[in-house]
Amino acid sequence: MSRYYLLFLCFLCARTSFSQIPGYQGKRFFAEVGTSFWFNSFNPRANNQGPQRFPDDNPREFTLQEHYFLNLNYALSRKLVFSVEYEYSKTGLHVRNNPDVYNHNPDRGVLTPSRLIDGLFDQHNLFYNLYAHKINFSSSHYFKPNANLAPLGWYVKWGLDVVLAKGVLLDQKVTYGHDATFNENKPSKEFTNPTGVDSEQLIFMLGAHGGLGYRTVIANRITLSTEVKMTLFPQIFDTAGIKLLEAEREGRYADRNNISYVSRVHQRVQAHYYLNIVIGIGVLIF
Amino acid sequence: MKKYLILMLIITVTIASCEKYEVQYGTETAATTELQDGVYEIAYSTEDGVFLITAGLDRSKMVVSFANKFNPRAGRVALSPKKDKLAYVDPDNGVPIIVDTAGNVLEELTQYTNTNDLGWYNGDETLYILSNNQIHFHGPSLDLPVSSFSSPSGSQGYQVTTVDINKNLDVVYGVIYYEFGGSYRTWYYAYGVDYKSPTRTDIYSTKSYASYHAFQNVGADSRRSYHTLRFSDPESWRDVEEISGVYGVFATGRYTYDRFEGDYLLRKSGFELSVSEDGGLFKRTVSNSSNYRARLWDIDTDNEPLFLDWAIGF
Repeated sequence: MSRYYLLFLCFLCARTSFSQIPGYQGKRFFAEVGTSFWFNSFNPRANNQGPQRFPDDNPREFTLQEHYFLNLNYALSRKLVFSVEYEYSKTGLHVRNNPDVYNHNPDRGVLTPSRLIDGLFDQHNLFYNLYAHKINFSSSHYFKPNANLAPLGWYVKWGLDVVLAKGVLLDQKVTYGHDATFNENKPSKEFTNPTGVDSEQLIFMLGAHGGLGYRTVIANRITLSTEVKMTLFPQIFDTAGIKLLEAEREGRYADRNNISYVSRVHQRVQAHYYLNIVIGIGVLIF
Repeated sequence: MKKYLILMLIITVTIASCEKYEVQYGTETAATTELQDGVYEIAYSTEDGVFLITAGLDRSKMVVSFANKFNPRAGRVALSPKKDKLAYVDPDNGVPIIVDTAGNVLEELTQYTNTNDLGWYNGDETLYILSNNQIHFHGPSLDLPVSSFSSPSGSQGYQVTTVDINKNLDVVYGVIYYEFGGSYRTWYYAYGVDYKSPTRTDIYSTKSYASYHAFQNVGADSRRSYHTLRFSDPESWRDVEEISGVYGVFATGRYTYDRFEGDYLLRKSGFELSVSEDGGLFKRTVSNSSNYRARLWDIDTDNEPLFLDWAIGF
């Protein structure tokens, strides 16, 4: 009977004891740099190449949108890695009046009252470079019971994302209310009221991400990882539309345009991070 | 190996699309928002006086009061396209008076009696005055086409009541006269256009209005001389100018000769102003109406004729 107990104890040990401590070759801390990318579906790049570019909305031009990251990781256990990541991106943002009825979150553009004829509006197409600084806090779970040893192998990742985004206005096309081609659509001190958009503001966003990835060793201490990641920002579901209409009704155009701009930044950041392929090269430090 | 291929692909696509953005329009705008709310764009006259209404149809002011006039009644008004001068007809002596938008009298043109209509040309340079069936000019003369103001044979009381001149120096005019038929007077309205261009054929059209017995007091019909014709921009899908106006309560226009109503519609500079005989104004953009808050304004006409001028454009 006792040999069965012994056998059972051996099975139990096999299930619960580790042959190695967490980390690869005893190294738990590692850093990675890399890029995450996807193709541009609805927005141009920072150099205005890509779909729906400024100002003509040219619908199709294949370009990628990419970001660069640096992350620091620590293997807390054989199955768990905690990471802090900084991600940087620079991309194009085209703000224009595009009231797509099938889109629950349409681009409401930027309007200013005409400086020439009361009651008319000038419509603005604005092209920004949008700089986004993103900090991610993630934990990666190595889920295969006997095949993984963090940080190598298959993992699922989830975590929180904090974004600070800032736009820099590069170009502005004005469609004047009284004449659609007036002043060659250029803004001017004489004819164009300011949009009131405060692009100096840092726009804060909080989101959550999840992904599936694989990490392997490609040389001594050097790792390569690939991952598919999805990030969602609940800010895109805010009630900007109602606030915007209120401001418009009350003639507060600077407020209206700021609401529209912030809403567009939310959309743009969401589109940028919605789905990404991540490739990173890391070094195991200690 | 596949991973390196993917990396190479990303690097190639990224570098290929690294062309710098070049500014096409610029970003310079005014420092602060300025609205054109304070601009008066519509002038009108009732028996109470002469008034101005802002372009946004949200404010009006009385410029001249007829309260101290011996014979207060509505008369013609003309607001200069520069929107700085206003001409109206004095109800007592029928002479044109030019005032600024604050009501200060600038000039009294006492030489032109019985003024039936007036209007500005070329900003505020020339005021043309229809007086005693002739067009006179205050300021530089206009080289108008040869006038066809001539009374038909057998006509009585021939009077040119309204005139408008467009940028091409075409002239539209309206006439009222009567003919005797037995013991009745039959009144006629006539409408004509003298085109400046010799290649265009002038227009002349007559309509009978009403018959009165010779002993009837025709003057009691206050709307008899309520008679306005104005050039109006065409609808976007037409390429000829329209002429809008009212003959008493008989409306005329290029396509509405036979409709009896007091309303008329003017189009200028992409805007449309409809004027109803009871003083209702409605202003909107001709196209792209979503880009404009349509405006309404009610003038209290007290069932008296309304004379109105609209100075839009810059």
